[in-house]
Amino acid sequence: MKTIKYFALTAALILLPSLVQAQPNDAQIAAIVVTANQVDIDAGKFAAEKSTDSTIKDFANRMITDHSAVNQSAVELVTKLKVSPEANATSKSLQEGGNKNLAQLRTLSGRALDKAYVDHEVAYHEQVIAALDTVLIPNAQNAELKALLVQVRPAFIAHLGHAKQLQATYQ
Amino acid sequence: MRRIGLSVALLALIAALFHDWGATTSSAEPQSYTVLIEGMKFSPVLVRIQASDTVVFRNVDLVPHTVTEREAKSFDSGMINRNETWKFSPTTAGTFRYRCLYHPDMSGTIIVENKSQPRPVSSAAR
Repeated sequence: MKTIKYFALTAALILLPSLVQAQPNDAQIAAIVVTANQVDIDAGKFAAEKSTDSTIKDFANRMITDHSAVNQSAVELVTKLKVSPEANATSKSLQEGGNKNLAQLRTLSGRALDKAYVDHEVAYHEQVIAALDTVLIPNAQNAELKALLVQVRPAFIAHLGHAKQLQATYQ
Repeated sequence: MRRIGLSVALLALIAALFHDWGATTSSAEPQSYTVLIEGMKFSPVLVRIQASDTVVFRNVDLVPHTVTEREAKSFDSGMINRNETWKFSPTTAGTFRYRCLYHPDMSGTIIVENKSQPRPVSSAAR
């Protein structure tokens, strides 16, 4: 059952770019970005608390700090632009996926928990980067919002690389 | 015509005698260099300075970073948040390889030379 749930979650993540509506407006993009960051912050908080592996804890804390910093910048920008993040099907789907991931992680412990967390981080960052490249950056209308999305991309790439390094240790 | 030519030659010789060939900045005057932390990279990745010069690390990324010496952690900036800076002023010569503790793929090098070596004008601080 756990395997089925895991693969269902993975499939949902794989479908993420297609779930992102074709041309979101800036308010919807803002909501997607903030939600995407918050989902990873929440997963990081759980892993940092429950993992007994210092390497995983360090990585999780890094995700919390970095994604919180990105969200702070995003919120400052939308406040300045007087744009209210607009919840949409994509942001809601991201939140639901995050909730399901947490529910799955709560059933695990030890090495199984660490592996599941890292596996999800790899898949999640891959899909968020794909969404950035194919939908969010191309469709951002405001120049500052677009610049923020471009500026954040290298951080997500670095996160993905770090997660893959950790994932390799569980092979 | 010949006198004009000789005069010009004489003037050129006098000018050459007073010209400071291979001009250098004073090696006694400390210089300041800037390394930008941007796009999850240190830029420039290699800085060559003299002892008592200053390297100013400026974080323009959205996320925090550190500047931490790789081997012995002889220097560690601690967390440098966005728009914050951290200054490093070595007093001894050597090659210092550093990295960001938070992001494993970020690294750079500072080569510190003795102050006694005159620095070329082209290496003036930015």
